[in-house]
Amino acid sequence: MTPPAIETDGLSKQYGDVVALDELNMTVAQGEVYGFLGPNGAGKSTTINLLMDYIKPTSGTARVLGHDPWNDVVACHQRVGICPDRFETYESLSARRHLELVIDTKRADDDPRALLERVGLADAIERPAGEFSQGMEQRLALAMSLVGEPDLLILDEPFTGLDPHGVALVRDVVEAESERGATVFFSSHVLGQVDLVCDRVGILYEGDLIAEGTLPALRDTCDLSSDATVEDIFMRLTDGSAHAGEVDA
Amino acid sequence: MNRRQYLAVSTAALSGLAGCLGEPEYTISSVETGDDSHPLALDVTAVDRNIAIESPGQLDITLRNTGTQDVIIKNTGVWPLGVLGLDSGGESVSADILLLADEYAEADTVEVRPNGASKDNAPLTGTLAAAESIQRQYEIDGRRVSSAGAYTLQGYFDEVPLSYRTGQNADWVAYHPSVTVTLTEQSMLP
Amino acid sequence: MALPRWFPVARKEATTLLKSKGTWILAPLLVVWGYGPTYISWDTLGPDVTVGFVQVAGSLLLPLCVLLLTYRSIIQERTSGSLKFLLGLPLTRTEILIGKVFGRSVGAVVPFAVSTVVLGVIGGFKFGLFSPLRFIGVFLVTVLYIAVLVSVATAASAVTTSTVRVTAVVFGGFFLLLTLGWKIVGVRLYSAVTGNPVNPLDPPADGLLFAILRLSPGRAYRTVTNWILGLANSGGQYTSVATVLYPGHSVNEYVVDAAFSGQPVPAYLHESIALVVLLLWGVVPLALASYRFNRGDLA
Repeated sequence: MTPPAIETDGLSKQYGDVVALDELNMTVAQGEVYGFLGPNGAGKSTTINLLMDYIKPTSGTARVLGHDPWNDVVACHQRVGICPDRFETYESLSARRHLELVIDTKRADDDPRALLERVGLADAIERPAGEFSQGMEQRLALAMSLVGEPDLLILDEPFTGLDPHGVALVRDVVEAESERGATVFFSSHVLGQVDLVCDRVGILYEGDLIAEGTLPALRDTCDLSSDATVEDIFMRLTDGSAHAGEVDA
Repeated sequence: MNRRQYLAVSTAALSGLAGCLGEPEYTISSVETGDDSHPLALDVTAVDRNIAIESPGQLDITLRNTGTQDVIIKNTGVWPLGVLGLDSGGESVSADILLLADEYAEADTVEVRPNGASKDNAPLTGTLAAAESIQRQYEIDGRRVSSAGAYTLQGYFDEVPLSYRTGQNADWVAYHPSVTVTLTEQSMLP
Repeated sequence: MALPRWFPVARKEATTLLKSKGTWILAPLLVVWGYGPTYISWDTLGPDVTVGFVQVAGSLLLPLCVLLLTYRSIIQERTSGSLKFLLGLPLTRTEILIGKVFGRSVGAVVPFAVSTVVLGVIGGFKFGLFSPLRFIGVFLVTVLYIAVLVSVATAASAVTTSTVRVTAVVFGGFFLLLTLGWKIVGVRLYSAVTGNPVNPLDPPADGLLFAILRLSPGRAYRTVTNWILGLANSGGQYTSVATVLYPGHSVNEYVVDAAFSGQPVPAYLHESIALVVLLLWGVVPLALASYRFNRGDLA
């Protein structure tokens, strides 16, 4: 039996007195496209930072593709592609160099140009990333996450800073990767953009997973009509205590 | 390194470097010999004008008897020119720059030390026949030069390097050479 | 043999340095800084005075610039978030540190190697053929010293969370106290511990004094290079050491041979121990930093 792509058990992270993530229990099956939703500060990035070993947990456990994400980081990251949030690229290095760094470290045989073509950056392959716009940096990071046909693709706020073309491109990439058989786990606070691509969503609010399931199931739970959006579900679940304005911010 | 750091470092480095390109080296830019009416005359030629770290400058000094009589020469250290020096006219007891000669090492009357020299004061005498000349080589070691400028050739210990007389009963006459050697500092920058 | 996993990180670090102007401005500066023959050092070393230029190039400007080129290598990535790419690679955090140190060292060695060649040509032209073995030996020890400096700066960069703090530690602590000012600090330390005053022009034949002085990475580096030069057992610059040994001259520098003249010298003052000190500087801070870096939150 294949282990889940992501499995957390009581995963918590505290910074001093501030609880960033409170006993998260979550399972993402392999092959799923999982939308991890919630307003800014809900703990989405904290969860991804934990799963990627950017930070260490206060308590709880997690498995990523069956590996301990903190003690078995090499085996784990070999099969994971990450498109992080709030990053800068290396300004003096070309797009090609960025991809070579990942390709060579993962010992993959991808062609940098082919990867950049997938994200619409092939023209900029030799340009230093210091000249890139935010959208281009985002595309470059997406291309880097695709190296080595990862079994699990983790995209942290992949829609940030993208124009409508970029948003459509991320959706295409997610669909293509999902068709290939990869698990896609992405976070977003822009609820409107996830309806079309997710098999399942989890909604995180103030460090707690308050709802999880397929969109039809969630609509039923929340007693909403079939044309209700994730946003409506979110509003219902948080009982209006989070205003739509904050959610979109 | 960003621009500010880069500027700070290069400015600091370059200003610090101003006096750091090794110790100064000199050139013997001119040697002027004055006329003298003595029976003795000095010819000084700068054979090697370059006073560098790896090689000293070199002066060929020729003492000529221009007269028709033999001249008896008396001095100390090594005969006939003695321990020579270049003096800038300052107050110091000995001359500013000690000139070095191979004869110092051969003679047991002169001892050269890293920052000075000493000698035995026992007089040496010899005769320079009429119309004869005698040549000696002296070196200028850059380590012993502390500044550029015009220097007068004289004895290192006493101003007078030698005395002479033309006959056994004549009086000894102090010989004052009138030779000016000018040293200029070499610049690292072209 | 397969390349280590961290090799692409090292390549990225080296490329980053070699693409920066600051790295290349180092080469001409090192030539101008290193070239400084003195009459006494020529008298003492002959053509090998050229080898001494390499030591001087490695002594003050090189550490300063290598530290400048390295001290932000991790804190900067942490602040900008690009560290997330590195941490997302199939590498342990220790491997990331090793890749950083290796790559930055190569990036700093290249301009130094260029200036070494230029110094060798200039010196060889003026002072004649030097001992190629000594020249290469001093070059290699300087390469080791560069790696040590990169290692120390990377270590500091890995464990602090603020650029201000890492600047203070690297430049105020490591460079000013331990590298530049250790002759003064170390002697004060010795006097404070033992109560013995030290006359810098005639230092006591006490092994402890020299051992303390030798703890500085810069002085350890020069002790090893003076050893290769065949000059004397001292952590001073070769020109100063030559001056101390030159009859009739004295200068404020600590030379074992001069201080102990004739008395037995403790075994721990052997020059090879200075090489060990240098190696420890390369390993210990990085190991300590690695321990903390492996356990910390980095995003």
